Amino acid sequence: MTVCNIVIIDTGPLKTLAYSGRIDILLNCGVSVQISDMVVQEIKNGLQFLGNRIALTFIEENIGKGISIAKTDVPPIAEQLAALKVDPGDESIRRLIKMLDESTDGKEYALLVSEDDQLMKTEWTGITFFLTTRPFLMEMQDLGKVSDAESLMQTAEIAAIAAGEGPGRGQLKRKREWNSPPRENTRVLPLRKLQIEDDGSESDEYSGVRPRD
Amino acid sequence: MSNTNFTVAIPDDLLTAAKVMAAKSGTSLNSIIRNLLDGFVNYGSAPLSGNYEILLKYSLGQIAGKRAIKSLHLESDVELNALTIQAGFPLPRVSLQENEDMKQRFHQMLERAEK
Repeated sequence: MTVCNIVIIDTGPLKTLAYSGRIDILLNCGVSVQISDMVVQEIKNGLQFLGNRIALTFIEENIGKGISIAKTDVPPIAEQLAALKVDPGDESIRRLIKMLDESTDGKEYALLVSEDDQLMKTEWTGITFFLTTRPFLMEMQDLGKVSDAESLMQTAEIAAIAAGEGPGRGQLKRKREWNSPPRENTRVLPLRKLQIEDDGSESDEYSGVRPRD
Repeated sequence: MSNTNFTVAIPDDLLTAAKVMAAKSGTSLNSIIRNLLDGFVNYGSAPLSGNYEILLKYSLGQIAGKRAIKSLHLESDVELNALTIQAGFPLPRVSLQENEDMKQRFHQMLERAEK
């Protein structure tokens, strides 16, 4: 028998399942589930959100009953890492993947991540592979363990927005005006003037070249 | 309708890139600017920039959520997703094929776990 595990290395899937109302599926998915210690810490850091509170309650109630914690030892040094401009979340994922990939225990791991995780773009071979919440729920639907995967995903999205009391258009505009984000390229570029003529043709003052239309 | 000449200051690199893009698209810079102005005046839309540009890149999967959160000075992914939807962009998705591939691999893993 191959020992298989789901390892949750991102808070996203936990919160999605929490908001969908079916986080309990993790106890009945056919394999054991490990949650990174840094993910638990990040969940605890966001307890103002309902999804985090549901996820934390679920974790605390089910440790040792199908749910276990994967230790990366990052949480105790998270502040030090942040001071060194190393993202503690990224560091814990890096450590965990390295540890799993180098393990020789013959186990197989599905790494549960969010759909927008840039790790998804990494070509990964070996005993680990990435899995997002949607295909996870689609497989659970095929196995008859949930009724409608897509409906659960939609419920989770709507519930997350509602619970997060998300910003409105006012904040979108305000942030743009008052808190303009840093741009990647702050180099001041040389300006040149573009002249548009009556006939629709163009010329630029800098080079004096008059391109063909 | 009569036309009027006007002069605008454009970064050198941007002008060059815009000319290349215009040529590739089989149109002129003049036409592109006229269309952008028409959209701005008639539909209240402006070329994407600032926060909208970051949210679009996030929506298209070009940048990670963490980076978008940092760039926009947000607190959490919940705020980021709310802002993305408020801006009119869909939340990032992986392709149907990638979903199917992951599901298939997960299915095989569960089968191995049962044996």
